[in-house]
Amino acid sequence: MKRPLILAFCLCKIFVLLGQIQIGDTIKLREVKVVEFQPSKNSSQIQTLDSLQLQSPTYKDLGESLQQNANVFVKSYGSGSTATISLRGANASQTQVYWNGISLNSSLYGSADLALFPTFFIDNAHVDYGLNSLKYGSGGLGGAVRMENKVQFKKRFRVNLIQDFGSFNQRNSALKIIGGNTKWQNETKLFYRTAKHNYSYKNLAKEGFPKENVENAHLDQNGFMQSISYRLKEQTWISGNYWYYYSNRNLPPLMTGTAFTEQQEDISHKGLLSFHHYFNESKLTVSAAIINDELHYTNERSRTESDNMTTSYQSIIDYQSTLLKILKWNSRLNTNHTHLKTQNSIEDKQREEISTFHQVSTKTINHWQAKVSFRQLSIPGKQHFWTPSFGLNYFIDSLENASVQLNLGQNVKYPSLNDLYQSPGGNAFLNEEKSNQISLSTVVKKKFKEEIDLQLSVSAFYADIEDYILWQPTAFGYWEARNIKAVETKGVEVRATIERAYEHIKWQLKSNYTYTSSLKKEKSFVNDQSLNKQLIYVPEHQLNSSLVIKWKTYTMQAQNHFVGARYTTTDNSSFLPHYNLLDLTLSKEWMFKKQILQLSFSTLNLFNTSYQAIQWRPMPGRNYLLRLSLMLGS
Amino acid sequence: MKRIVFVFILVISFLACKKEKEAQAPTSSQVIQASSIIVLNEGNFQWGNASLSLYNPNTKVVENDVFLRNNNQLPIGDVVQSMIQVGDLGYVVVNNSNKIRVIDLNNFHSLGSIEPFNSPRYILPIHQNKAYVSDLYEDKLYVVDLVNRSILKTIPTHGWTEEMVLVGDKAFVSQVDSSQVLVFDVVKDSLLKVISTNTSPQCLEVDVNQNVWVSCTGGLNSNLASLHQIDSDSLVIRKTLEQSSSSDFIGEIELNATADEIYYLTNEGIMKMNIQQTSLPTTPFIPHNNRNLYGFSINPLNNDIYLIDAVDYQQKGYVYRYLADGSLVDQFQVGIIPGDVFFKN
Repeated sequence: MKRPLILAFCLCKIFVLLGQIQIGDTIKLREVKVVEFQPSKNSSQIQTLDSLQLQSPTYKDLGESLQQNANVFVKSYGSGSTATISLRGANASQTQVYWNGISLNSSLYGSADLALFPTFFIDNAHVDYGLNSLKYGSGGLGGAVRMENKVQFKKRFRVNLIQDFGSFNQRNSALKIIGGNTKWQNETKLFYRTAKHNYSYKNLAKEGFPKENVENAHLDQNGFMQSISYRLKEQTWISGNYWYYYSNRNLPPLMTGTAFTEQQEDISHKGLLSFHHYFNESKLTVSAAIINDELHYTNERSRTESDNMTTSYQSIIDYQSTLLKILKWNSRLNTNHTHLKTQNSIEDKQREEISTFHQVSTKTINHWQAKVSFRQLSIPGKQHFWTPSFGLNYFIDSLENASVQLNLGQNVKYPSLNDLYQSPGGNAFLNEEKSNQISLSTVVKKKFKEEIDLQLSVSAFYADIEDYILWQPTAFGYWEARNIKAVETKGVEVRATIERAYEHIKWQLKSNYTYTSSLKKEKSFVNDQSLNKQLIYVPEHQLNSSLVIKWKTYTMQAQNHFVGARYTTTDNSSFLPHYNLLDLTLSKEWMFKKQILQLSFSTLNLFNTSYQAIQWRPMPGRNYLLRLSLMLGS
Repeated sequence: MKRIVFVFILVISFLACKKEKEAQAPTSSQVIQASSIIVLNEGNFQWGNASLSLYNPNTKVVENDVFLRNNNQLPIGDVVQSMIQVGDLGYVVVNNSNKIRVIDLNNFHSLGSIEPFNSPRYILPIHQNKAYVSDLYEDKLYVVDLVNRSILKTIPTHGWTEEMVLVGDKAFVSQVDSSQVLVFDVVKDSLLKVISTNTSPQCLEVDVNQNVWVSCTGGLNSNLASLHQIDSDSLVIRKTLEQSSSSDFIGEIELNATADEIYYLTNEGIMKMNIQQTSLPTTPFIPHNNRNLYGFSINPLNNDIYLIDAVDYQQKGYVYRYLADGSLVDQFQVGIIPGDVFFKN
């Protein structure tokens, strides 16, 4: 039993030493991903979206789900179109996205397109706000989103078939087959999505404001995920996951333009092997993954065709244990070797990153719990980055139903390949982005009359980001990546859940409110009016709420999504007005022994609100979706 | 429970029904005089935030969004690239809206458009009825009918065509990617000659001697930026003046009212020299001063220089007005990415 532990230690040590070696090649980059600490059960800094929140008929991908259920802003060009996340005022490349611990952020652009991750393929999603993302990797200055696939070794065979029919020729099909016993588990998931998205809208950019239909918005996506897990011993198992995804999206024109063929094709292969072993009071996880992403872009108007392919080889060793019965210890090592092959603006590049993470936390002693962690990031040819963080929890009562948490520390984000090497405009002399952060939060759980459960969490955060990378204009007529002195972000996140079960009726109300201030703190030019102004496309106010009422076999779900005004100019002289959307879903379940048939009907944008999420990009008005879901097996 | 449900529905209904207060911009209050200055604000590519600003040099009053205000909140489009005047009509090339908007210059009312183009850049009036239109992506030059507002025909070219000037019956057209200046017979609409230039010719001007000046940016491959002087009769390059370093940029060029002095934009600021000079000046006439200088224009009536600062391209830009001696008279804020200043006749 000790052998895996010794092996892990040796590997960790080797990688740590490797990380300390200055390697002359400036192109290579290794990314390491570090530890994951078990969050406090009352943490307000980590939010978990369970499968029920992920599988609502009104959203198909991770972006749509997060937008409705978390304190994040998702900048989306429309359903199924490119969707990037902004967390705590940080931009998309400063927010990390992981799948079972593996980084999915593009090495080229630094960000991840959440529309390429169907919620059907994931069991859980976690949002790690702020410094909590350090456990999994550096670079998540705003935080991180983690997608997980869970394994349960038990005898079962289950088939879940979902078919959607919606407005604008939307057709979504999904099939999940789960089978296994206490030794083996197999999961097969298939997903297909198509839509014309040719909805009508009032064109405010043409004389007479005519009603027109969106053109060139066709979408085709399909995917396949295969997971096999085998339990070697009672406390040891291995698992393999393969995830294929294909997406072909036409890119519709602005209201101000005319239609032409512009298309983006994404092809992704993800393979992951992992080994898990539980000791008496510790756990070891070793993972290795290959991620291959291809992107083909075609623009008929400019006669442009571009191809990019990135291949990333990642590994993780994670060890969690207890020390002296009062301490918990977590060490994690990540490596990442990325190879980029492009047709156009960047020469073929390779990068390597090595990263380690160490965290020690105390168990709760006299209501107090503390943790200290260090993340070390090594980029060959660059300096080592050490980012410490510290956390303190105070549990107000012995049942840990109410707590106050303080977190402070640093994080660092290394520039993307595009920032460094894009031609023209890439800047090989860019510094890494550095962030100092502090957050204070409180969580309260309360039960009333044995029927009503209330959970409320409030977090306040502050972060400054030094050497923030912005693309700035040059005298030569192109843009260049530059470090600007500072951006300051601060805000408040409130999450509230209240639920009650009374006889045949259950209801639950969830609400997330976010206030975000994200200000530029440096003038770039003599006439620059952006000093102390909100960054563009970061709303100050956001609110999403969900009310679910269940009565016998009937369910009603109302989802509300409010997005405040978003500035479209850095001097904040222009903005897109706020919008508020309401989706309503009615469902009925029929049970035949252990088989369940569910029929649901959703009306999206019930009030037919006319809005623009991105300037001059029309969004759909009221539309409908019918879902048929069949669950067979035990 | 009922209370919770009631409050929830009340809150979301309130939020859903609340209308954003719409900006009620008044129509243009300025009298559009013959001497009025129109600033073309390109706006960001794919953001649809181009606009026109009106500046009165006598009163120093500036009014932004004049097209929007005078057309029932209609935006002018995506990337306003250039403009010409024929009679009382303005023809505004809206690059990424793939059209040329026709406007009444007395009141900025939209009178329609000429379309469809692919990615139109500049328009050159040949006479009252006819004009040429260059294009970023097409292998052709458009010949348009200004009266019927239609495309008459096209003339084959090779790739990106940019600025154009007319000298007699000859149209000179810069063809950027192939580093050439094309010369067309505007009567027959046929190609007369192809003149090879230094890398990336873009801006063209005609001097007092009817010679055509061409600015070549040098492209992105570290070639030297330069100026050519082309004899419009013999169609040969008479003079080439090169920057000494590839880090020295040459952008827009303009001539003064008498067309005997040439001004050009560099990363140091605005340079000025007599057309007879045989070397480029080294000291800027108007220095850069940490501005993002994006272009400039010279008023043909009085030699006032209007210098454009696009700031960070994502906020309202500025226009500086200098007298011919280089002294600053005024500065005013305009729209997003001011790209050109147009002088109404």
